[in-house]
Amino acid sequence: MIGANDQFFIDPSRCIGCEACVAACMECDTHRGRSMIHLEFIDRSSTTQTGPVVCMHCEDPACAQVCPADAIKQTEDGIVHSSIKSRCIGCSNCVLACPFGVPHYVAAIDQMVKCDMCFDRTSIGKKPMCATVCPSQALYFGPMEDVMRMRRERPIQEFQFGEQGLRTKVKLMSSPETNRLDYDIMEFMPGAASTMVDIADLSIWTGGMEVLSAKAD
Amino acid sequence: MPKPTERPFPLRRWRQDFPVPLGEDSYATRREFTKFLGLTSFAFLAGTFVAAARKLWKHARATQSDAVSVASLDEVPAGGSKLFRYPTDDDACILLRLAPDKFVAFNQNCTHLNCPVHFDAANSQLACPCHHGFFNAEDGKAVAGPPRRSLAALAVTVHDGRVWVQGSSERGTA
Repeated sequence: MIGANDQFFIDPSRCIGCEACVAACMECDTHRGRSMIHLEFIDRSSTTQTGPVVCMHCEDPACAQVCPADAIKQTEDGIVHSSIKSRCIGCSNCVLACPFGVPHYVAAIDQMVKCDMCFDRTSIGKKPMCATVCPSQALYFGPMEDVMRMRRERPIQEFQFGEQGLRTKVKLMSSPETNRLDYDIMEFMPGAASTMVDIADLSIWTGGMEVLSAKAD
Repeated sequence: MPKPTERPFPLRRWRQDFPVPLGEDSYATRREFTKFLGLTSFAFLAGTFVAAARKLWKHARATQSDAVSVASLDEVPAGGSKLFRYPTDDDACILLRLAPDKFVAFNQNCTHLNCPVHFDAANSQLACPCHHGFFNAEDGKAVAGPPRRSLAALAVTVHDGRVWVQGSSERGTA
């Protein structure tokens, strides 16, 4: 089991796009050579901003809810695991359902692959591979008190995607005034760049929510 | 700003059979069950071939082995018996001298559950003490008790003052 105090925090505004997390994930014994996480480029034409995409481990995971083969399971510690190999039929429902874009379908093995917060490591008290190598601590695994002491941002674990609300185990660092992050998916669709919210602005600068609210209005 | 839903996915009745928490999952999918059946059947099939191959190999080795001397003539009196191993040390056999000039030899394993059989000269029978199985000492045929099959007989010959046996399914007398 994960240490009671240790939690996973993601701060995309700290990400420098080095992909050390992806490389570290590949090193893991249980899925050697294949990364279960990936790096997202926010908008390569206009910004260098990148974001590491590790599983947020929702309390009521959308991926598992839409799986027709009953292949995605959540353990008692709240970790949503990768597909059960004998059950996964490679339908990609989970890929489409996850609002965070976490699960990936790998055609070579006809399986869904997703981050399981290195359950083989965290279950014996070690940190997830990605968090151990992240040079800018965009991925941080440790006690909440340390994060509150060292960072200006506030850890968020409630999200609203349109009408879909989610509460996650992994926390996303955002502006101190924010309790819940609301996203209008349409704002992030291709072609809507003019109204796109700068995630980096939102998470670093106070008043980020005002920017978002202004866009929503 | 939309109000967050209380629960993103309402709990439906069928979810009870397919729960998301791993601890509550006790359902074997048809795919897993089929796989289990298939692999088990294959294991049984493979096991059958292995057992058959071992038996054939053993039989071939027994029939190919040379005649061996197991006793001298004066070693076994008429109505007496002698235990020996043939063709390997794992195969217990029994040599019977039913009459001064009549020898027979059988595998000592009872055809019921492989207990060793013993010679009962008074009744001219081989008796298995485990479940009271009896065999005719002349030809090894099962005469009473649980065993249905005859004892495996060995070919017996006498020359140069010694008794020789050789693996054979034929009934052996000399």
